[in-house]
Amino acid sequence: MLAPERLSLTVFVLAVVALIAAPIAQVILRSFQEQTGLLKWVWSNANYAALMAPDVLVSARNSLVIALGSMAVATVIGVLLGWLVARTDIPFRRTFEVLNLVPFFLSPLIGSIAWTYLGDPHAGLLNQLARSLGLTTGTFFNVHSSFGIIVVLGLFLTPFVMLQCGAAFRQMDASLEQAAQACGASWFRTALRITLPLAGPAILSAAILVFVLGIEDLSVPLVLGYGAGIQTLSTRIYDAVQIFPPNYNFGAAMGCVLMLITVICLYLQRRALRDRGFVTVSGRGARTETMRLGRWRWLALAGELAFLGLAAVLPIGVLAIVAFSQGWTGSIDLGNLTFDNVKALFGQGSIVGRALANSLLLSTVCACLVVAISVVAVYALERARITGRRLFEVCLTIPVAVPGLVLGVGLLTLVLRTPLFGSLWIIGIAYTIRFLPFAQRSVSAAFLAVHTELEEAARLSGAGWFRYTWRVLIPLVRPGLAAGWMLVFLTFMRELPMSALLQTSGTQTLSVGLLNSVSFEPPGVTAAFTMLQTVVLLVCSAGFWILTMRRGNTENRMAVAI
Amino acid sequence: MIENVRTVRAGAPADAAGQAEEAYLRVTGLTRDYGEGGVRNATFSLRRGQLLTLLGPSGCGKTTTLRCIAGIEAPDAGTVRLGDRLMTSTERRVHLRPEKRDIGMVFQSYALWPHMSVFENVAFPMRMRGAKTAAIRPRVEEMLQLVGLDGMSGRQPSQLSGGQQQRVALARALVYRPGLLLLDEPLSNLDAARRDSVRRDIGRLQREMGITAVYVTHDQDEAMMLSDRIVVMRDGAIVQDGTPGELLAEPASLFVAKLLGQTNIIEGVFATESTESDVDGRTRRVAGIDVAMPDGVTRLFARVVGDAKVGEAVSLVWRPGDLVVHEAGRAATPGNALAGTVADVRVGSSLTDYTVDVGVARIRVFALGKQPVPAGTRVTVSCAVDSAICLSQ
Repeated sequence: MLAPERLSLTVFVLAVVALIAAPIAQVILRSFQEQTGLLKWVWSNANYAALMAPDVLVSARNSLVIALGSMAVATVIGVLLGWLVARTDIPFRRTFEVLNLVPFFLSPLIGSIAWTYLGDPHAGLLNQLARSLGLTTGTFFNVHSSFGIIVVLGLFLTPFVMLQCGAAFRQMDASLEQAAQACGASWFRTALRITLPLAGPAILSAAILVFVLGIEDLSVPLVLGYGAGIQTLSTRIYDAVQIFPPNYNFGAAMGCVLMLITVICLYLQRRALRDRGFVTVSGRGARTETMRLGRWRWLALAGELAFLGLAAVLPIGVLAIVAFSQGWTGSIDLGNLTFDNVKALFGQGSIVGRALANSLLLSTVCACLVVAISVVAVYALERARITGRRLFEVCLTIPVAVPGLVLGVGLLTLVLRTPLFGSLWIIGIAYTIRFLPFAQRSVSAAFLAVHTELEEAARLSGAGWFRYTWRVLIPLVRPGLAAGWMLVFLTFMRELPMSALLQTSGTQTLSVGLLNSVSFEPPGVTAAFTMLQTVVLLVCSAGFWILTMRRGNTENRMAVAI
Repeated sequence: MIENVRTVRAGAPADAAGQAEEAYLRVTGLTRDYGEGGVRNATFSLRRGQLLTLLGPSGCGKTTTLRCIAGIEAPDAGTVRLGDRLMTSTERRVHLRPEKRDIGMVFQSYALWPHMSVFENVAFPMRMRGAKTAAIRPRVEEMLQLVGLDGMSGRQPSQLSGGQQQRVALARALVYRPGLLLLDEPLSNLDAARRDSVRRDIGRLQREMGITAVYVTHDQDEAMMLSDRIVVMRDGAIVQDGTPGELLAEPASLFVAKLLGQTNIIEGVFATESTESDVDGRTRRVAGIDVAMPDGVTRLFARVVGDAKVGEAVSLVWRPGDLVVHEAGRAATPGNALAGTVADVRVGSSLTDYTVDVGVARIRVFALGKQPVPAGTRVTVSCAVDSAICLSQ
């Protein structure tokens, strides 16, 4: 390896690390500052003392309850569904494998908006239905409660568990289960005594991941809980920054608490995965036969359909109804359909067109950027093996443990008085920093599949670094890169917390526009907007699906990345 | 390419009726259709306490057949009966789950549960059968001793070598004395030395415990050494069913002859036919086969197996172990021989492996000689008429 090459790679990685470190350091520093004037401040621990205020403690408790509850919901459903589609003969399993990911692509934001039309105590479709069926005179299911938030968040986090556990179930040697059956164990005991313990580390790791996603989620508590006075740490951070006058320092202190929780959880997750050694990739004798459930097949099918009903069909259905209704009162009136709401979306003064353009532009550019940075970083760390690679490796994965809200606060306070403030650029930078580790994981998986000997062979054939990379490496890793690109693109299209903190008028993304619409627009227009976002996301996801399907296992690709 | 299914029954009157009466495992018309690796209309049976091998190249349907017997796969058609219990019958819509079949199974990949100790692995089937803890320990220890792993019960599977792991798998399959033991290429992940010792243990335990077993392999040596009966499969169909001796002496086709080990095939024309009687008074057909050599036609003699007729093109099968190499001019030229030049000599620890170029073919010979004939020597290769086989092409 030539020295200039190593030097420039090292400088590049250092620059990326600095970009990551700056906002995080800023958040930590800010959390210890107290504003004494417009531009004056002193070191202080007042922000942390303020965390002890009763209302903050209540929010912290809410956060914990919601994160734990949705973790329980998502883990139980996710493990069951992951096992059903990966390991059993449930009818239409291939179809369900795809459909189960729909809630993942929809995002919790869309899910929670849709569920307001289903579970509102007064106008909610389900409550109206329950009342008209005489099941209840009051409220059947109130989505504007901690329980409601837990259910909705849990449903929409389920695919994460399903993907991770499904991958573990799929990799498991089928003969381990067949051996148990041959030994006289029923499918139930086989699942309980063989399959579950073997997938244990993967399940634990998925549960922790979902806990982290739940505690840092902004969209569901904001849409479902805010009006009902249910505050979480994330909605409080949002408030601290958004409500005038902003208290960035207090937001930063809460952000640090959130970050600390995330770091601890992810450390535990790593430890859980360290013992994963015995989830063996199948030997050559193993096939992927499925377990016969017998009569239980139909119960399994019913459960699967119930999940899809709650997490995809009902939400999308109710959105469509509300979007084309003339004023939503909780009852379906087919004689009163209208296109007015859709027209309003693209009418005078609407920000929808702008938001769509912003989202597409940001997502496309940032996906390219983040994959490009990942490629160079992975090359530098794993092939060129620059000095200090271990340390750099750790540094580059740090954003995983930094909730989007926290990174948003850091970046916002960094650029407050610079021209970057209020530009699309800063949102792009936020996306890039936050999701670099995810892109890097996809890229590195793609690179690991290419043997070093291929490079050595190319070198011996006389190809230089550039020619080798261009002619040999890139073509080989392209499918993996494309999958990684699509995945971060989809993530950007849905991103809410950072976009919400860093937005000003004119730089709203689709998600932010949608969130604003919840507060300021009539239900019909919001539903139409949500439908638009749903269609955009599903079209992009279908693109991702088609792209990766030709190259093999989509689920495994996604499981690697999340 | 469906070949004639011939059930060869040489010697004692081990007739169809007698065997069917005593049959313990009966597989009838088993069909599982999914292209390569599927099986069509397989019918065979096995007596109690015997070991039957399903032998064939990969993709011939042998593993599918085994998995249908195990109940892991459901056949599209056919019946599987064990003793007086009906395991599978597509006609009567019966398909017992694997756990209801009272079988033991040994997998190619060992399939030991990595989260359980050796003891727990072996104890698992007994626990599933509701055995009392007090009864489990002595039985498991006894079983581990039988497979030569006494004292290993506290280990984790990952701490064992491949051979030891497969022994644990064997102990686990046998611990509850199943009605039927199924083995799916149990030796193919082991190295040569371990393969040999595990194979001996499988054979010993199967005989000592009087277990009925079905064994799947593509290795003819394993099949020959372990089996009471061998069922040869090809492209999803059974091509021959018999004892190892029968298969060697009377292969139903060139495919079977080649499958059972190294063979030399010489093409020729069935020129003359005679009938001879052997010492037991049984008659056999002997063919005179004309082989076109560079310097003219040589006539070689061989036992006719099957229905080859005079005038047909036939294949002459010489097995390397049946052949003798003579240095030309040293002794009187033996009959039934071809002249050639030694092309290659490889001296092994117990056998010498010659390759002799006879012009129309290169003939492999495995000889016992201590002083090998060097390469380049003019020799003749001869084969006793009894050992040579004439098969239709």
